Amino acid sequence: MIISLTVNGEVRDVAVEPHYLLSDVLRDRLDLTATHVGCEQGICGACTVLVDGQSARACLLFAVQMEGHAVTTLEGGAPSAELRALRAAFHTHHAQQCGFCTPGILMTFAAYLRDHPDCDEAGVRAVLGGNLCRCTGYGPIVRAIMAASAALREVADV
Amino acid sequence: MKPAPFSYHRLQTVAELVGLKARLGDAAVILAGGQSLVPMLTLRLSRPEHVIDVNDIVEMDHILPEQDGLRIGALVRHQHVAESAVVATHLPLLRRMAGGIGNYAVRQRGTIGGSLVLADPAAHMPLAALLFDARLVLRSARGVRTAAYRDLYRSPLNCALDAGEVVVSVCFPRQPEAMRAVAEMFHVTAGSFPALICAVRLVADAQGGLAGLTIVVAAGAVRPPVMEGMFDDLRGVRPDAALRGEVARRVVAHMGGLIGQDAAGRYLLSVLEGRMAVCLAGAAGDTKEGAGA
Amino acid sequence: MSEREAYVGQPRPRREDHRLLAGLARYVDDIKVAGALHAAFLRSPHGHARIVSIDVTAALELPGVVTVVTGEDLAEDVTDLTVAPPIEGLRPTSMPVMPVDRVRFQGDLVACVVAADRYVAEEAMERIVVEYAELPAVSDMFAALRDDSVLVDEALGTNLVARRVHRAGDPEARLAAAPRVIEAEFHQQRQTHAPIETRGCIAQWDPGREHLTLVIGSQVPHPLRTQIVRRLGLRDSQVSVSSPDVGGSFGQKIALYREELAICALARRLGRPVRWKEDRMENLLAACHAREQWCRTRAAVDDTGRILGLTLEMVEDFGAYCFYPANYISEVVGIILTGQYGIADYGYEIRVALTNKCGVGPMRAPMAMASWVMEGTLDVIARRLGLDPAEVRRRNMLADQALPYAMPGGETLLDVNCAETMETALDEIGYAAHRPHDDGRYLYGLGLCNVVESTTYGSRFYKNSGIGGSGHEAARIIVEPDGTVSASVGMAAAGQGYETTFAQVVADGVGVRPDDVAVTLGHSDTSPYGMGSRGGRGATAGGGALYLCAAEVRAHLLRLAAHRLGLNATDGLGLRDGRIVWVRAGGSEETGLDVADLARTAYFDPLALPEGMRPGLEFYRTYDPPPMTFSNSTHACRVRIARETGRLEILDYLVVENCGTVINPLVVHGQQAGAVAMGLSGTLLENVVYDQAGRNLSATFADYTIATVADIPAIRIIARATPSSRTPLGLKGMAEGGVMGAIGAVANAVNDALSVVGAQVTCLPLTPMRLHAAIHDGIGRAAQGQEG
Ligand SMILES: Cc1cc2nc3c(=O)[nH]c(=O)nc-3n(C[C@H](O)[C@H](O)[C@H](O)COP(=O)(O)OP(=O)(O)OC[C@H]3O[C@@H](n4cnc5c(N)ncnc54)[C@H](O)[C@@H]3O)c2cc1C
Ligand code: FES
Ligand code: FES
Repeated sequence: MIISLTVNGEVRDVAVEPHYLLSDVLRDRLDLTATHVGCEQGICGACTVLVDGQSARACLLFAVQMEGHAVTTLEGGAPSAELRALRAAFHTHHAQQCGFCTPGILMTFAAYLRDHPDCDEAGVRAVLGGNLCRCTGYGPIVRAIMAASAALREVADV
Repeated sequence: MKPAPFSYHRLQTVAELVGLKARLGDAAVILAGGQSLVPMLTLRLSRPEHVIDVNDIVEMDHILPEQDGLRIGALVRHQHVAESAVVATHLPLLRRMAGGIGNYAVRQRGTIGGSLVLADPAAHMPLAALLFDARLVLRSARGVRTAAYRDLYRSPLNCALDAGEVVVSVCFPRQPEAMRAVAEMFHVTAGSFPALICAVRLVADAQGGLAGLTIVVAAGAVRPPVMEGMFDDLRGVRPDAALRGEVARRVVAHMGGLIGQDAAGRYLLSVLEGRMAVCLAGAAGDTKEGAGA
Repeated sequence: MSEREAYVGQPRPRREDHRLLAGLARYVDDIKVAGALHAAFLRSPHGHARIVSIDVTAALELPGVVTVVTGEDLAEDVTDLTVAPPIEGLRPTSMPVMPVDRVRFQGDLVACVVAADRYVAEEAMERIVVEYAELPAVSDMFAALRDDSVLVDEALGTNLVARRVHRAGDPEARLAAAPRVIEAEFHQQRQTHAPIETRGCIAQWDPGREHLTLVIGSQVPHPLRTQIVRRLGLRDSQVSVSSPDVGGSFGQKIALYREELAICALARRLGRPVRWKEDRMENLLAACHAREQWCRTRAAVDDTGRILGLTLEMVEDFGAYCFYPANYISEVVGIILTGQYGIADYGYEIRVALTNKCGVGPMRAPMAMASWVMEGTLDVIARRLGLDPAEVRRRNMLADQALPYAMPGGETLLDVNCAETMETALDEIGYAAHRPHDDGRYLYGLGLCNVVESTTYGSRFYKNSGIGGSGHEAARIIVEPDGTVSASVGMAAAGQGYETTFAQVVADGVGVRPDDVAVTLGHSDTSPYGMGSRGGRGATAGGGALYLCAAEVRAHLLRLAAHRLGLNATDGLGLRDGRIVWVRAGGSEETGLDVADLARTAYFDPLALPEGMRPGLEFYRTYDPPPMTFSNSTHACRVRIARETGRLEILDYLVVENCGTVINPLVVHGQQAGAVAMGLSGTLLENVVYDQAGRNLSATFADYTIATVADIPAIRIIARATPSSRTPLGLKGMAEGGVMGAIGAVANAVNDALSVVGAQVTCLPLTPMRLHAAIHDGIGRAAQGQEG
């Protein structure tokens, strides 16, 4: 069947079967390979994308479900202020080593920082608990997210 | 790990849903948040011919304070419950429980209806529904009925809906003024189901004695028991430290009979004992010890 | 060599980051190959069984299925893997690419489906009918070593695949004569690497050129190619292996696994590209496991806690198949056990058992257990004798003047500053004020772990230890016609940041800016043949080879510059950020020439070159580092254990670290913290569990739990670096010691806390349940530290 979904602001028609996972369709049919697959069970968080602006596991959604919804991946068109701040801070704080977990973390926090501009470290840690990273030990990731959050607040104050 | 093929149906109304369910019978499963169903499909533990997506059925997505309690649509997401001001006023504990589920992304999609129907023995929402004696509003082609979740939830992963029935909403009964509810969750690792949840609902009489006490514990792979009648003899007694000790002993003994006394069972019981003390103190308003509701 | 190190030592953010953060990285599964077919493997549900029959008819009938092959089919195309280095006590083993008649563990290969996509392939797998005759399985290494055990590999006639004995001095005599003999036991559970990116590969056969191209996340592209060539009966020149971005490896992506070889064979057989992406369940069940080891030490001690002689008894569970010589991992534990302690009379006996479980391999710090065993033994001695653990360490520690020191395990220890790291750690952690105690809710403990981290592993190490193989590395540097520099070594990165750090090394070595150095890695065609990334050798072997090569480049460029300036010699000339300068006291002065000018001459105006100098600017240089370099560190932590739940909290964790010259502190800190985190995760949470029938009970991330952010404390890292005296730039390795120290520090802290209630734990992981049992049921009480 052909479905039509909005991905990164563009309407895309794509041939799928109902049992195809969104993660596979993004990667294999739409060539959007920033969305990584690490477990297909909702645990690792590497596949996190935004659906209508809210973070969701792409491995726990069928692509057919997305008809009429907006999906945003890390590749996504013009990056939001949150994403830009996160990228800069991740670079400065060395918050990625192999980088495989990174897209899922960036997408999760692009939404979280937008909705929680005054977040504290405890809140950030609680949310980051949903993403596995095998390389960094998480310290630099937490520092980078807090730095991004602070940078966004500074911009907002000006 | 890929799901087997199925036909997909996406519906807009409850009427359509019950119609299709009636027609397809057991060959169809309902897809709500998918946070439990999709992994089961991916692991091929479940192989339905039809999948019915209910995510568009807006009439199942509401939180309404009503005369006799709080009505929550089956499709309401955990995160919505966790952030809802209405829930916070009516049932603060439910809000806290919802916020403790899994992780942020899972809470954004997972629904209360899906959780209750799945009836995972370690899950948060089923435990809350048991504690507050919630009733499910069920619809099928035969009509509407309501049933106590305590009756429907027979055994782990077995919420006994009748053929063709769907959950439309869940009603948490209005609570008396003098009610306090407290829960404690114990995680071995973050990001997933807790190893133990215990929850206490305590209603005080005018003198501060016990008017009602309900305790539900999720531990081990058993259907969380609702412990209520076993405290009938304690009515009217003040919930002081001695009484709380007695209650905790009964709870631990009862759970011991259910989950067994192997090393893992003994461990959980021991943790339960400590958590019960905290919970009971909180429910009794002894804020020195308890976390409070 | 160079006037100064301008870029080595700078905390430069990584150049790799841009593509990772933009979502533009390319991991294997991101690479499109037109017309590629997808493979999926049918795996054994049993721990041990005979394959009676396999019926693939129904699978083949499914539209989209191209072929289904079994072990029998592939045996025609691929030779067996024989692991038989000439090592005393090691039995040779052999395995086909896929089992033919017997499966040896749950997850073992049974058949491979090749289809239009993975969804179809999985449908087809369900239609394969396999009849198994189940056999009794052995899933416990001690049981496997009993005479009456089921045999995992019948060809061997025993499950004891390796037994190694080593003696220095006369430890038995010391034990017999000693005033006291103190015994201690340590049991580390089975773990697995669990990189977030699972394995996977894409193989393409070009029938016209008769050439195989394999894209695979690998730490070792060239050695992998050698294996492929041997197994498929090809020649080196017929195979290209390239490793794109790799989503973590930790030792898992070194061996040539059977799946990958099968994919290569299938691509050749079908003449079409074939790809495979491992799913998480396969990864946890069947990729590669690690670390299941048991150790017992017996120490002859005097009343002051001085160790007079020491023996180590070790048993390792190697699983069902040997992808590595079975002695290889435990042997290193035996070799380095005594670390920085002066123990002349020492011996070890290692036994390695086959079991019906997934095969094992090295995992980040394969010798990790060594530090826990040594430091745990010292703690047991201190506790038995009522002495201060730090003092017992001091009494046994080698004085700095004793270095270089011939360790009883056979290696030569040098360039370490163990006393300094330990004393610093004691100050920083507040050791003097600490006593283990119990406040009614929590038990408090402090743990120390001195680590001597063997890194680098030059050829001499392999020769000495009888393992065989080379430890050299090769570098190639090209100064391109536009004056930019392209550098390569035979290593492949999996998150270590080589592209950034190697550029810093080359920049300093040549005298250019890092931004003008491109580092390309991981391709067997464009990188020189090297031994790849493993054993903490990235910096020393890779960086060392590049630095030496870069020095040749620099010398060559300066000769050319001198000629252009009309000089006879290069005296007084230097290279700074790509410009040729006069080096003067207190500064430098421009000559007006830069590398681009010289490159133009070298490529386009060869007649302007000095007499005897050939056109072009390509340089190749190999480097065989010393047998081992040693980094050292002291890990210290304070913990508390909740009496009620057994939950462990790490209140303070610090590492005082000497890892030699630091190329890039940002990257090195990241590696060190990551290693500690992995060690903590293994110590506290991870556990591969098999039941008695050999069924794996931990094949999802819900069951095989790795640390989340909530499990890892803040990690303080304090540098006390001294350079290596024997490597270019004074480099050493550093990415593994964190794992070693974490295990020992936490386990020792826990036992310090538990000593308050007279309990001890000797088994990992230190789960709340285990600690709770130790506190309340006295489990493990007095099990440790018996005088024997
Ligand atoms: C990583 C991870 C961690 C988690 N941790 C927790 C945790 O800590 N605590 C916890 O409680 N849960 C946890 N969950 C489960 C999560 O809460 C699920 O959302 C929930 O169990 C199921 O809700 P769902 O909406 O996703 O239902 P689905 O997965 O869509 O469906 C579940 C079942 O309910 C049926 N169903 C759904 N809606 C209806 C309806 N209206 N009428 C009839 N039948 C229906 C479906 O057919 C299916 O059988 C976790 C999940 C993941 C992936
Ligand atoms: S791949 Fe989706 S959560 Fe791991
Ligand atoms: S950076 Fe490798 S998994 Fe997070």
